[in-house]
Amino acid sequence: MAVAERVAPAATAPPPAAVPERSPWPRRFVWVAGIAALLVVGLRFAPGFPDRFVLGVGSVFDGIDTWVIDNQRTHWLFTGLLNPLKDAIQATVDGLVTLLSRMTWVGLVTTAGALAGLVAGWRMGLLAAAGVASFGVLGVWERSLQTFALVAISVVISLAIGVPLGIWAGRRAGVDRALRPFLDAMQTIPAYSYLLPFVLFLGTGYPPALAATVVFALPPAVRLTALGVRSVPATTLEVATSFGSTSRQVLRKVQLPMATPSIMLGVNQTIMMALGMVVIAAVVAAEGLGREVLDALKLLRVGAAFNAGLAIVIMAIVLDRVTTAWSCRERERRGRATRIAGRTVSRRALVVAAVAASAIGVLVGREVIRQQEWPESLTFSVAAPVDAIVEWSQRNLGDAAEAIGAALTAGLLDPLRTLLTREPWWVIAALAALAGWKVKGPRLAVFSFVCVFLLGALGTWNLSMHTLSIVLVAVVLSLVVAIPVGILASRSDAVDRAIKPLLDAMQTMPAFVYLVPVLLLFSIGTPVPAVIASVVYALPVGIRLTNLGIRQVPATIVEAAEAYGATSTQRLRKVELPLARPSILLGVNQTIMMVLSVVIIGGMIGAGGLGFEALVALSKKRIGQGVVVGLSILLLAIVLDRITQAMGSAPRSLRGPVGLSGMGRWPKLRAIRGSVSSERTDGTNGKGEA
Amino acid sequence: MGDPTVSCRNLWKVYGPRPERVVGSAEADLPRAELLERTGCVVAVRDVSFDVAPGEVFVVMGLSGSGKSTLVRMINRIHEPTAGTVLIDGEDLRACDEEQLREIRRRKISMVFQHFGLLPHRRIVDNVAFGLEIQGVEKADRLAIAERVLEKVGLAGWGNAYPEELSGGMQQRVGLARALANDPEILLFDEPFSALDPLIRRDMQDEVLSLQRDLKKTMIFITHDLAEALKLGDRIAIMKDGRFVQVGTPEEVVAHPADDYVADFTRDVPRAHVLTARAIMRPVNGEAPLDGPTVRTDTLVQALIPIVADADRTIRVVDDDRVVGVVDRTDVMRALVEEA
Amino acid sequence: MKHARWVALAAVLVLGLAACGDVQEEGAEPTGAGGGATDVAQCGSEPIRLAVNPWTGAAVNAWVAKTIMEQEMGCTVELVDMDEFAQFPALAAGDVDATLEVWPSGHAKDYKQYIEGGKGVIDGGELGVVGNIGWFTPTYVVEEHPEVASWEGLKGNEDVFDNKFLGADPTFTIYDEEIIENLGLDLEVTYSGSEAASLAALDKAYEAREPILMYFWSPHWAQAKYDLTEVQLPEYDEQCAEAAATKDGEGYDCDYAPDVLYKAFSDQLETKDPAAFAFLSNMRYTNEDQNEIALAVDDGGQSLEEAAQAWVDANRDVWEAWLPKA
Repeated sequence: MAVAERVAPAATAPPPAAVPERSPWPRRFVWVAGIAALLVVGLRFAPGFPDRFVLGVGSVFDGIDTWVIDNQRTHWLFTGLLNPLKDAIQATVDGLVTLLSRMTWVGLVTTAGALAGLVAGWRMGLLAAAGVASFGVLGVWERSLQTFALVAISVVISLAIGVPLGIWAGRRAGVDRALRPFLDAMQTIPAYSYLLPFVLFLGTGYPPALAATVVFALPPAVRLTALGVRSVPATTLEVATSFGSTSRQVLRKVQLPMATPSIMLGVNQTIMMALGMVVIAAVVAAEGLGREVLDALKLLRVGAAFNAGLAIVIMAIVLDRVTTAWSCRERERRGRATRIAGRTVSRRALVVAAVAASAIGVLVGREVIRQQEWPESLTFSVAAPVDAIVEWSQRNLGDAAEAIGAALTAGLLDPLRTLLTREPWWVIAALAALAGWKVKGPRLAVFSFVCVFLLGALGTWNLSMHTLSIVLVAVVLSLVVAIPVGILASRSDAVDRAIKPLLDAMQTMPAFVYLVPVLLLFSIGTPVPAVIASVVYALPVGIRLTNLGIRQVPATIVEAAEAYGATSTQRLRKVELPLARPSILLGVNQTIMMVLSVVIIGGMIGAGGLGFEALVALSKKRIGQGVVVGLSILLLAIVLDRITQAMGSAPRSLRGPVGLSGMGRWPKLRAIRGSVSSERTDGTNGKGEA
Repeated sequence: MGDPTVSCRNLWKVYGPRPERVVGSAEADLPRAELLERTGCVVAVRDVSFDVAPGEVFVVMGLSGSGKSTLVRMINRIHEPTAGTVLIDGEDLRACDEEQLREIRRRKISMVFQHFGLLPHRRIVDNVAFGLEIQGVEKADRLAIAERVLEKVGLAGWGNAYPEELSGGMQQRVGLARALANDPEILLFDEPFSALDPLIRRDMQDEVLSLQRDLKKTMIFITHDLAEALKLGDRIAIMKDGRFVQVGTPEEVVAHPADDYVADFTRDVPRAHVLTARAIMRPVNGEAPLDGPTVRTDTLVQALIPIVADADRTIRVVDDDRVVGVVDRTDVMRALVEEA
Repeated sequence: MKHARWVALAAVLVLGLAACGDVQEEGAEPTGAGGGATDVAQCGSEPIRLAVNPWTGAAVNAWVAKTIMEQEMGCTVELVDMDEFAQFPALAAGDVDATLEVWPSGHAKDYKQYIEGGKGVIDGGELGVVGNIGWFTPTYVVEEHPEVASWEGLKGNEDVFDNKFLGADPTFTIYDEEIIENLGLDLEVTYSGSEAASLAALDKAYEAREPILMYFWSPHWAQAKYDLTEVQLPEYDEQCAEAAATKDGEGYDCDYAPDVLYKAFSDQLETKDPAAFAFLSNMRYTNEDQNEIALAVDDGGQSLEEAAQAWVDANRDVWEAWLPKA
């Protein structure tokens, strides 16, 4: 692939009179030799980061816990603000759970079906009803209701804050610029870093869980709203202004309606993000499906974790499909009457039917069946079969896995970690700067250097290098698998179709769920389980973006290649891969971000590094250490993100609002694609006006 | 004709940091690249003045980048002029506050846009009623008006469709209807037909002419197409590098181009279609006998050809029954030959 | 979005229907009608919330308390799963009423801040179970390499364990890295991440008769299942106590403190429900009691509910004394 990259510029090379095209190899060789020399020289100097440059950032925060403990009964901040807020949140979520359970399982299944059917079509209605029923079947009825209630209220709050902020940012570039680093940080800093302050200020249970969820789920709401508002063509705004619209009228009648698809995508993404925090919610003692996953993880019950994870996946898929179908239909239908069986049915009639169905469902559930909870006899947990599979694999694959793990540790992880920690900090910083320079220019070089320096200044040098080594290994492994599979999927529709649902599930399943089986299979107490889990988690995005990139190569160009007699391999190497490069590099970027997020969680299962430190800070209640670790992870993420992002060079537009947000979960590639196309439209229109 | 409806004096639009300092300075006359280099500014419109009389169609013609789109946007102050005045019915637009400005945009000036600028999320009828909605007209009233205007532009019955369901030409009819729905005094057209194919463009031009006959609006029409300018304009301003190089009737522009730039433009114009008897006539200096056929001053050369062919006497050009000049076969031949 | 109004109306209607109260399920027993002796003090109506930490012993305590309180005192007991780090803030905020198994070695700072500082948490007395955290290795290893039974012998012979030490859940009380550093041992700490992962690693090693040196503790049912020997570390002393309480473990170089496990209550519990307060204060049992139930759960495959009920049914004499008199 590296060779193929070079082909594109050569095709547009100047006339033959120019210097004859030289092989890229000598240049490349110089680079490799230079870097090797730098590394060798570096080993002669003191390793790591000198203590005298370390800033005591953490200690600034260390008094907070004492202050909170001393004042939480008396200070107005608690008595007047936080405690009532906390009680209100708790009461709201509890109230919603109670309400939902009182609707009874029959009522909930029918209501979910009727509502989804009303807004998104009968197919979605069936899907929603089946989804809700599956919570019962999996035996996690109550837990699912709790999770749904928490997610629903978190999403409502995220949107209530995020959409207005997004509108503001969409209309004022300055606001947008000011918000951007905060949004990046919110999605990059692992929740473990800020759970402790949340617990101190908001106690345990739903309130801190909701706060953590909102922090994580807010960014897509802001970004996609802003994007939607910004993407309204300048001409359209001129139209509105030229007819004498007030600023409010422009917003209400033009910007908001035209941004609706993007805002709906934001809603969808916000829901997905909120579901991604379900397990974290359990860490602060919020009830719900996350609790099952977390307990199962602690007790190594793979089946139970998978069972709860499956419920989360189902909830995610139902909510995703229904909201997506809703926004699509909204656009198509535009208030026209629906046709059922060739007959036109008015909107009102449909609503009445849906309400009636829900009401009947609730009534039947309450008065006829008289059962709130899903009946025990109708449950089927997948725990036992999954456990059986795991046990079988442990017996039969255990040795192989152990061998792979040992090879991975001895061959890649240990040497790389040793190298990174043995080098003095300035070698690493110089390498980052070099990479920055090569892919973008001096500004990125300086930026990367400073970030790496700050990493040392925070006092987390060795931990950061440890984490970095794991991330690098996992990214390479992930890409080694993802790119060929992506190419394969782009070549064969059958493969594409076959792996699609699998990829969906892999990305929606909370990463915590993977941790358990890999822990049982691979060597406990090494980073290997975390590496494997992060590879599994990051694979889909790499596969998808490779596939997408190749499939987006215009047919005429492929035809041209064929017309000149290119073989299939030539076509791939000389045409498709170079043209798919931006998309594949976006895949690399996203892979890095996702791997990093799992490697951090991997601190829980022996991966060590920054993730582990975050956990220790949490459990030992060291706020300052938590902040420092969080910032370190942010810095690491920013450097990796900016450099790989610039590798994709020109198409900044391709990135849309993804970037660091990939740190979380991007369960739907459509999201990326959607933002790509809308941002492109924006670009063209902007130019048209200039 | 009375006072001008639109009157612009010394309009400037400069983009860049501290644009005011460029206005009227010596630097403003520097070549574009040099000015940008020195000041970081680009002059889009420089020192433009003109009047448009009530009911007149004033066409601004120029190539892309000549500043014409910026100019038209200063007339309703979508773009703020850097310097100069814009008077609408004698009222100084730049002195208006937000509220007054909105009021003028709502009632007096409507604009038709190059790429139609229809709102994709609204039905056709709601698009047409947009201006009225902004003014706060009741829904039933504005929809009734919109239907009526749609009928006028030949789109009766399309009200419930959405923009994407219409062809380009139809979409621009909607754009036109939307501008008319407000019943404004002034219509601004920003290259409205440039995106349409030639046949449809001709239809639309005819549509504008016939509307103009019926409604007698004051129109300012931006185009890069000289033929369109000649066809529609009562007067034409040729714009280059932000300034007017010539303002005149189509005939003046074609017959007496102000400089090589304009001449270059007008070279390929079929002159017989543009020049009138007035442009090619000789003064009466005692030739006798003045008894040939009479034509009016605004008779196109094209129409003169059969007349001079049939008549062997000198033809009299009359204005209000008064003979103002004469034309003979030689004059017509000469006018046609100059074309080549 | 005109139909939004209708959807909202629909939602209100349906929810209104649902808001009429819990469905009285057929055959469902109303709670709180416990049959215990009449002279036992009864709970109030508000539910008592017990924190449950993520290890079996903690869950056992909570289920024993729940079983007895609900059956004998008509209480409603809710169990709230939470990580150790969250329990003191939760008690202080009144989110939970009690936690039944605090390991003092890990909460020296909390004890100082919350309990001695009088910030919303009170000491609920000893649980009766005595814990012991330490470094453990299978006895077959010690038989082959007797020198590793103490830290002095281990020093220089770390290669018996391939220079590896298996830590447990990083959220537990841990000073392993400090001990290793301060005693000058050549061991690298890796973390299994959880009790269960440590057990899995132990099981794997045990089966293959491979050496393993790990953080572990008693009471734990695994102590009965596997034959483990504790590696002797320097005796616990004042300096280590100081290091743990005020210096985040810096300078810690001895054995873990013997953990006399205690209960901690929210300071509002006594006023909220005196009967529950009295019961939980009285609750006290032994390592053997707890182990019996834990073994039934972790190795016998019983549910916590079943195992706790079985123990309660068989040990009335132990818990009868816990019941407060009316």
